Amino acid sequence: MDFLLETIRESFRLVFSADAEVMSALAVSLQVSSAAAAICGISGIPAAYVLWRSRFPGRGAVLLFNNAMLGVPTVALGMVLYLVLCRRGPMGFLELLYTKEAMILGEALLGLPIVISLGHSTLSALNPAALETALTLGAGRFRTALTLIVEARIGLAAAVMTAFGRLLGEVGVSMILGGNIAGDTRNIPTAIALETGKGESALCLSLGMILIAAGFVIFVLLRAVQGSARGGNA
Amino acid sequence: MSVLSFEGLKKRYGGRLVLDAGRGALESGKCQVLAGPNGSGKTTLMRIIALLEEPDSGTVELDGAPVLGLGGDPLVRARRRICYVSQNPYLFAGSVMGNVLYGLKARGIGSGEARKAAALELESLGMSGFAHARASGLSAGERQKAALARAFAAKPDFLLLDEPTAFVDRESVPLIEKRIESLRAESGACCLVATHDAGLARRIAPDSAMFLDSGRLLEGSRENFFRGAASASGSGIVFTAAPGVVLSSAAPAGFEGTCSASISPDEIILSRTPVSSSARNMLEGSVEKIEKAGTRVFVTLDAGIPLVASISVESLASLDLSPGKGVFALFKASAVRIHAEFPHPKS
Repeated sequence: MDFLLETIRESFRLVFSADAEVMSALAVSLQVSSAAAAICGISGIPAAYVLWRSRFPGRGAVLLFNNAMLGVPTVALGMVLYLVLCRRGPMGFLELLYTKEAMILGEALLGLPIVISLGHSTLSALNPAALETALTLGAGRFRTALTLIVEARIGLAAAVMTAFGRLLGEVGVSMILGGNIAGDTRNIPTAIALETGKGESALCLSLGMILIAAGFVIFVLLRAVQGSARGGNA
Repeated sequence: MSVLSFEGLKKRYGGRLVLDAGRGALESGKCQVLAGPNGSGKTTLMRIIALLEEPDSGTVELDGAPVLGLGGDPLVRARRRICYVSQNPYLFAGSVMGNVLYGLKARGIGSGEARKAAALELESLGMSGFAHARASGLSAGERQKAALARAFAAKPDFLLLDEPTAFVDRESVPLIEKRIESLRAESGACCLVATHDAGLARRIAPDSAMFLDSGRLLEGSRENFFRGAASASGSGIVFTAAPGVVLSSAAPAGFEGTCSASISPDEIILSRTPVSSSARNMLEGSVEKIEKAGTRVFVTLDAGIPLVASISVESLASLDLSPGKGVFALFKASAVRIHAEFPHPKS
């Protein structure tokens, strides 16, 4: 019991003393996950729109593959990307392995199916009158797409935030592609994995508390975004 | 002159034939009413000619060129000439002004000019005070007026309005009618208005109507439309419009069984006393309502069936008609037009 209380006390001290190691891991987590979530949003929302609006051979297979990717083990994806990015791999010349850029790439690929799948569902649930109104008012293809994405913005924002939340706590891709280098590619999940092995319970707990707090902040932000975005069409 | 025409449009939903419209045309500078009971296919017909829905068969032509099956830019260009406003219109997120600007921006009209046009359009429908209001905060009537302003501002050649006054307050109806008339007169727009409001129909399109019943486009009057049963009688047929109300029709035999009939208000003669004449039909009733529309007066009678007669202002004065007074309605057998129900008449 004393051990548990002491661990909790020490973890709070680490959080509130802004421990350099903790802050560095937090910064890497936020940088990598934010960049990856942004890529997911920028590429995933248009992809979801195209999959929703277009009819082309293989569309069903693409949707099926995307949905299957939702359940892909992160270590498996990390391993595949490792083979691609390692020095002897086809993209080895880019020298991305063990960099934040490699982590961003891996996390973006991990988050993309989430945004596409949730984005596709959101757009499919959009009032069909929104599309018809844009068309009958003479909107071209691009204006129609922009209009419908704006109309579905609440659900699409939720899709990106959900992906961000998932990426913030992801270990496999970060560990394999980032290499868990202290002060460089070590983020909160990889730090927790490392420190657990070393028996640094207080540090692990403090990092875990930060992850939970980050998740809480994400959902508060999401509610705020949804609240301010409401008031479009009833 | 712009012409939007259609022919042989058929549409089925779940195997049920909901539209079997023969032939029709809308011409620039003219307003037409699309009448018919609920579920008669009015909305389906409008959506098809607005190029929002594909029919199972048939053609739609814009100035003689087929437009069904177009894609890409040609389809966008065709749609920009036709604007459909549904009964329960959708407003985009944002302000009312943003909505009214939408069609203008889609047509590449500059921001300043577009804002000016949108403001004028809102003003014409008494919506100036709502320009910066959120679209989601509007009442049903305000939404309908905002959607009409949005369509009017885009100035399409063909305006297809589905029950445009269904939710608006009584004070706003004349504003909408006035704007429809000014668009027709100024820019030669053609309006096709689906409505159950007989008064609105008479005012905006006194002479031109299309009537849909069970998906079929019928010739005849949009007024005095009855469902009933027909049976052979001598060289013609008799039509039972209601229990005890049997009308003689000159329609040829073959329209037997359940069908519908219509009588043009112009073919009904009113008299305060029974008249011995060649007219085969005479119904006794009482005046329910008197409405003036231009030089004509529409008198609604309760004669066992609701019957509308169109008479002149002078006739109204000479007959001294007012609600509640007794009156006789006379009309010839040839005035009773019989319309077959699905399936088509017996051959």
